[in-house]
This record gives sequence, C-alpha cells and structure tokens, in this order.
Amino acid sequence: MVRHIIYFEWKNIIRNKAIIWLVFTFLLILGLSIYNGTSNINYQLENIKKCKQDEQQRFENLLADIKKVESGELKVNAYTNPKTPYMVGGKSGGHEIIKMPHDLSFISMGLSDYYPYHYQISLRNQQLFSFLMGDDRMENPVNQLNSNFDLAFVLIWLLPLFIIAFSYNVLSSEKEQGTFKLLKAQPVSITRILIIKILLRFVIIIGIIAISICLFFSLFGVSIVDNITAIINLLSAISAYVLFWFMLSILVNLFNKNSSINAGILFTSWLLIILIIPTLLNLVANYKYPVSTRIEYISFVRDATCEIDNNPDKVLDKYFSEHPELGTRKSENMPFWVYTVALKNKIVEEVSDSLIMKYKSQLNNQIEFISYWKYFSPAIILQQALDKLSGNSTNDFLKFQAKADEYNYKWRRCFFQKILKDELLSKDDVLDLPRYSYEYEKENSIVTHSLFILACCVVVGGLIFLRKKFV
Amino acid sequence: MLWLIARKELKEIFRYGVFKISVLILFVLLFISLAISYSYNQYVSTLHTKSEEESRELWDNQENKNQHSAAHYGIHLLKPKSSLALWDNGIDRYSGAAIFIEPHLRNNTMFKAVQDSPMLAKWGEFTPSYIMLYLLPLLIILITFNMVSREKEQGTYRLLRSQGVSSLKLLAGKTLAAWIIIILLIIPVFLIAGIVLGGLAFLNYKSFLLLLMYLLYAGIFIHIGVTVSTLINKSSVSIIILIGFWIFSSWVVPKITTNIVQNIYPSPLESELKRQIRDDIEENGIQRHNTTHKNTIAFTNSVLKEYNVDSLHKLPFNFNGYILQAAEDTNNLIFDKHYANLYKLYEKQMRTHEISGIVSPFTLVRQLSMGVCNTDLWTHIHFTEATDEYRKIFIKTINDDLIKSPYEPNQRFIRSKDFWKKVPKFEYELPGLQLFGQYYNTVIAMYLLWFAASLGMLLFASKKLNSKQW
Repeated sequence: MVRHIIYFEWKNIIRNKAIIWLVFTFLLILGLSIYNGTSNINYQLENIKKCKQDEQQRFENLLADIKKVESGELKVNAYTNPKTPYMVGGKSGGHEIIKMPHDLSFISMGLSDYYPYHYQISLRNQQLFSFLMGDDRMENPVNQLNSNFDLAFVLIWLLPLFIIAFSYNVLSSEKEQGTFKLLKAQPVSITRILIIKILLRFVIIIGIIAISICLFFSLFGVSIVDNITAIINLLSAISAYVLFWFMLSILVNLFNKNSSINAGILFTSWLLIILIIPTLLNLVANYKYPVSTRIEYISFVRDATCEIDNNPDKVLDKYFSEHPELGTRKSENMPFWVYTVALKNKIVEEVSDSLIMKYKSQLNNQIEFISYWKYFSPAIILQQALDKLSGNSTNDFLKFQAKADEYNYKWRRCFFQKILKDELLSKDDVLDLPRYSYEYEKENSIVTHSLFILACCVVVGGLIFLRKKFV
Repeated sequence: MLWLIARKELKEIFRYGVFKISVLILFVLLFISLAISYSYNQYVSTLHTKSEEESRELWDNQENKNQHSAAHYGIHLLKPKSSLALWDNGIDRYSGAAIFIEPHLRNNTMFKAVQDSPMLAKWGEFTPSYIMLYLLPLLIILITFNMVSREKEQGTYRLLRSQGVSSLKLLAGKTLAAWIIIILLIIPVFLIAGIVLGGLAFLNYKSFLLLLMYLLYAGIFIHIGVTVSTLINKSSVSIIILIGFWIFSSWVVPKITTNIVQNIYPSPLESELKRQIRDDIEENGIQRHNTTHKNTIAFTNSVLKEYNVDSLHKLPFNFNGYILQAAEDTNNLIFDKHYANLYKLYEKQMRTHEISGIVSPFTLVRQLSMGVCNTDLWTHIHFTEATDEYRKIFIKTINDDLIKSPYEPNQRFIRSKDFWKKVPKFEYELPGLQLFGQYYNTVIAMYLLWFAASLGMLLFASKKLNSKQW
C-alpha cells in the first residue's frame, strides 16, 4: 500500500509542470548564489595578494635604503631616514595580519561585509585598537545596505518558500479536487498518507540540494573530498531546517483549511521567523544594550592627552626624569612629534582599558541576548551555523580582532624604548624584528546548531501530535 | 455604481478577521519602530552635536604652540542627522559619521554604526520605512489577491455581470476600495506620528513628498494585486504570484544587483585607494618633509629663483608655511582627482541599481525615500565634500598665518593661543532637496512610469475580463 502511495505521489509530482519550474528556478538561483560567493572570495583573495605584494615591496625597499644610507650613497634627514625606529615600525616595516578565507568561506559572507579581514601591524595606525578601525573598504554603502545574494541567503530565505510552494496544498488540494473522500476510503489513515507525501517531498528536496550543492561546488573548484566533513555538516543543518518547514506544513495542513488559507498561514510563519523576529531582536538588542558609540571615544582620548598635546616638551621631560633607565633625553634622529606620539600612545593605552571593556561588554551582552532569543527563529540558528562553517561568524572576527590588538600592542612595545632612546636600527636589527601572522582555526562542527533546529522541529512535532489527538 | 462596488468591498474587507489582525500587528510594529527609531535618532544627533562642539572647544583652548603642530592636532567633524532620518535611516549605519581633519591627508568618515552590532544587521533595520516598504505591500496583497477571483470562485461574478456592471467599473470600484483603505491607514498615522515626534515643523514639503512616495508605492501594489486577481482565476495561485513578485522585487533584485555591481564595478579597498594616492603624490605631488625628494628640491629652487635670492632666510615670507601651503595646493588636486574617480565609480554603480528598477519598484522607492530623508549616498558625499572644502580652508588659514611669521628651519616658532579661535568654524546644513533634482530624475521618471504601467495593467485586465465568456 505504502509503495502505491509513493508511486502515485511521485507520478503526481513529476507531471506537475509548476513543480518542475520551481525546481529549475531553485537550481538556477542556487548556482547564481554560489557563483556570487566565489567571486566575492576571489576579490578578497586578489586584494590580499595586492596587500602582500605591497608589504614585501616596502620591506625590500627598506633593506635596500638602509644599505644605501650605511654606505653613504643616500643623504637623508630626520623625516626620511629609513633606519629610525619610527620608519621601520611604521611606513616600511609595518605588515599585515590576514584572515585568509578558506574553501567554504563563500557559503555565507557573514560579518566579512562589515569587519576587515586584514589588519596592519604598524606604528602608523591612526587608531590604536581594532574596534576603532574601519572596515578598510570604500564600499558603496548602498551595496552594504542591500548585502549579498549568497548561498546562506538562498538557503535561509528562499528555500522555505520553495518548500511552502511545494507542500502547502498536499491535503487541501485533495479536498478541492474531490479525491479526499477516495483517500479516506483507503485502508491507510489520512495522517499516514500525509506523512508519506511530505516525507517523499522531503527526500526529493534534500536529494536535489545535496546533489546540486556537490555539483556546483565541484564546478566552482571546491574539492568535495577535502571538505567532506564540512559538507556533511552543512547538509545536516540544511536537512534539519528543511524538516522544520515541512513539519510546519504538516501542522498547517492538519487544520483542514483551504489551499489559499494554508498558503497564507505558512507565508505568515515565514514572515515571522525570517523577517519580523530577527529584525525585532536586532532592534531590541540595540535598544537594551546600546553600544556606546565610538564617537564618545574621541573626546575621551583628547581629554586624556590634553596635557601632552599642549605641552609635549614638559611631559616628555617629566617622563624621562621618572624613567632614568632611558638616560638623558635626546631627540635628534626623528622629527619631534614622533617622540610625542610614542608617549601619547602609551598614555592612551593606559587609560583606554575601561572604555574598551565597556564597549566589548555591551557587544557581548548583545551577542548573549541574541543567542538566548535565537531559539524562536530557526533561521537565526541556521545563519549562525553557516557563518561558523564559512569562518565569517562574530566569534571568528572577534578572535581575529583580539589577535590584531595583541600584536599591535607588542609591536608598539617593541619600538617604544627604541624611539625614546633615539636609537637607529641596522639591517640586522630589522631582520630580527618579529613578523606576525594569523592562523585561522577551522571549525567544521555545527552539530549543536543542527540539534537546536531539530529541537524546533520537535516542538512542531508535539503540536502535530496534539492536533491529531484532540481533533 | 462605482461607489456601490467600493462600499461593498470595503464592508467585506472590514469584516474580514485576518485583515483586522494584520492591521493591528502592523500598527503595533509601526509604533515600536517609530518609538525606538525616534529615541535612537535623538541620541545620535545630540551625541554628534556635542562631540563636534567638544572637539572645537579643545581646538579653541589649545596652548601656545607652532601652527603646524596645531594643524596636526586637528579637529573632528560630525555628520548632522536629518530630522526625517527617523522614518528612513537609509545608509547612515553603513557610512560612518565622524571625520578627522588634519594636514597632508584627506581622511574618510569613520565609525560605521553597523560595526557596533553586526550580528543581525543582514536581516534589515526595523525603521518605519521598513514597515512602509516591506510589510505594507503584504497587507495590500492580503486584501487584493482574491478581490476578483473570489467572485468567480463563489459564483457571484455571473450575478454581478447580470446586473450590468462593466468590467472596467468593477475593477475601478475594487481598486478604489483598496485605495480608500490604504489612505485611511497611512495618512492619519503618518501625520499624527510625524507631528507628535517632530512638532509642527514636520509639516513641510519634504514630509509630504515622502508620504506621496509611500502612497504611490502602495498604489503600484494595489493595481498589480487587482490585476493578478483578475487574470488568475484561482486565489491560491494568485497569492503565490503576488508574494513571489514581492520577494523578487524587494529582496532578490536588490541583492543580485549588488553582486552584479560588485563584479562589474568593484569598489577599491581603503588601503588600496590610499596606496594609489601615495604613489601619485610620490610621483607628482610635493612632500613637504621629504627635503631630498626631486619635486621638493625643484619647488624650492623655483621659489628662490623667482624671488632672486640664494637662501631661504632672505625670502620675504616664511618658507616653511609657503611650501606647506604649496604642498597642500598640489596634493589636494591629486586627492580631488582620486575621489572624483571614486564618486564616478559610485555613480556608475548607482546607475546599475537604477536599471534594476525596471523589474523592481522597490529599488526605486527606497532610493527616493532615502533621498527625501537625506540619508542617501549623495547626501553623504555632499557632507564629505563639504568637510573637504572646510579642510582646505582650515589648513590654508593656518598656513597663511605661518607664512607671515618669522622663518626658522626647525619650525620652533610658537604662535600665541589667541589665534586658534580665529580659525573659521565648520558650518554645514543638510542639502534638502537640491540633490534630489540632480540625481533622482531618472529614478523619479521610472517610478512614475511604474505607476502608470500598473494602471495600464489594470486597464488591460478589465479588457481581458470583458472578452472572457462566463
């Protein structure tokens, strides 16, 4: 009997022109989104390559210039001497730490739209801390407002709509066509028929997604074998999400309404889960834990450095008298402001802690608030899962920022004494300097996210059970 | 007859439970968004004014120091918030609001608000315009998707025809009913909320223009809704088509266009732009502090030659100030060139976004809404250009003063502190609608065309309905 139902249902589906069109459209946009993602990543890689080339060029020029100066070939002044710690630590020896995208980064652009994927380790940074730095992009803000058509968007936003279109009338259409009574006359219960119908559709959708994802991935040069765990993780999360929407569809179908009401109810759920809940959460999180805008920081720093800004000589003298290990104050090799800025940065570092803490804790509050309320929308859970899988999650970027801050701090420490002591660096000194780099730890496991989505499915399953029991 | 049909339709809609609930939810959401958007706007605009004043105060109260050091101390400018921004925050979260003014360099705006809470930014910002532009069309779809198809499904269509109603009058009556509902819903809420939150100053031509944009957008959806409901006999199919159009127009097209734009006209990285400018200045500009650079030497020699002296001391002015200003003048041209190129690139990008308006009225109405609220790209560029004009004046005032002071090679001359207050202040007002006429002509034309086309569709549908045999 079950075999018959599956057989007839299958015939029904493949002879339905609308469904064939839907599948075709879905494949088209899936391919388009993967193409968009990979071209975004390629642009990132291109920029990273340019940065690296520029960095290497500068470093080679630095070594060459030092050689020329040491041999007396090049005449220099305080502003142009390549041997000064300021030149080495800033313009010429400053280098980038880079968060390289990996094979699957194109799945979700995530936060890479708003945060930089590379930071300069340099004395010349206008801002000392990464949270104050921009996103190093001259992107047209309208583009950022629209954001990307990436795989995550297709899976989270559009896939549920295809599922709804595929299943909103599984039961109601039987009624409208008048075949419902025939079904009732069969020895199998309606619920069972409904579940078989939905299950068949579930298997078809998952099958299409799995095959097309593997196909498109290999088409765009992503190795399936190398990323097999990640892809399995991806598919498991998608399956849980698809299951959730199908179960919702079963639940709605059980209420015995007509097709257009079913479509309306399912679409309203889509609206709630995908549009209203996340945007409202964002709004409330912002309102409840307003991150003190960094604009306040400007006045804060200026107040703290008021004395050194107005009387640099006096403050420098005072610092030297408090730190006898620096010897007597000389300031000949570099322009005067270099010494001032070095000391000023140190002062800012010392006073900024409280403000940075405040900023970060508010941001963390927001993150926690969202991770607490995300259970009301499986869409947010899937978004976070995909972000994590592609290495573009909030956590990934905060970790990267923390490293950037750590290295920049070390780098400044490394040059601070050299500047105040008015030392010059030789070629060997330059080669001995640390050069930092960032190693991204790839995390493939998003099992917990899939489980959370499954938990949402269980809730809907419970509702289905109750509905069956009481009606 | 027309009025009769409209009245019958209105009665039916008002008795429709789902409609009442949807309107209630929509209003609740609108009030939440208005309240929070208002408090956010107040907070930001006071913060901006306060910070700019503080920055100026610190500048005014500097001690005695060298003019050039003072110029390097610099000043921060902040973008004022427009009063209509509470309706549509536009790109403000993505553009940054603070800009630092210093010599030798043209800086970009910093501190994009989106970086402060990026977790759910992709899902959209819940401002009143979010409701007007994303959710209101759904309410319209809800009341129009079965307006005509229902008559057919229930068999009342034949009755109607037997009464002698022409199909044009039928559709006109139904459209009128939908219009009445939308006008009754939008106009009072818009005016009351606007006056409560913005005072009587809210009643100006900009607000009415914004209202008109929203109404026209609603109208486009009403006409399309009635058309689809007429042409498609099954309500369940017509609702899918309408929702499909809504998603396509408001979500899919803007995003895909963005990707196309990024592929054809990729925006540069900030560091890349700075690198290009740096190389250009190295080649063609004057670097004041690099005295061994060929351009600096050439310039110095030309000045000595012009004044027929052999030493910088003998010049009738302070050479430090003179070369600083000359370097500004030369390098500013380079900055201007590169930024003009960038803005040209943006313009090309925006043209592409405009073209996508052929299939998506949403793209058009959002651009117009941001434009009226002064939260669009062009206002942002207007602001950055104004800050750059100010930067030129700011630095020139300081350098001119330096030129008049006695020459010392090491720049140890100290200016007494009364001078700082004499440097002109930054006065800036948001551009109002003048940019609107400059940049939005095509958008407005396309938008009106959409409205006309939607009316045309309605006419076409009535013809089609007439020719069908029932």
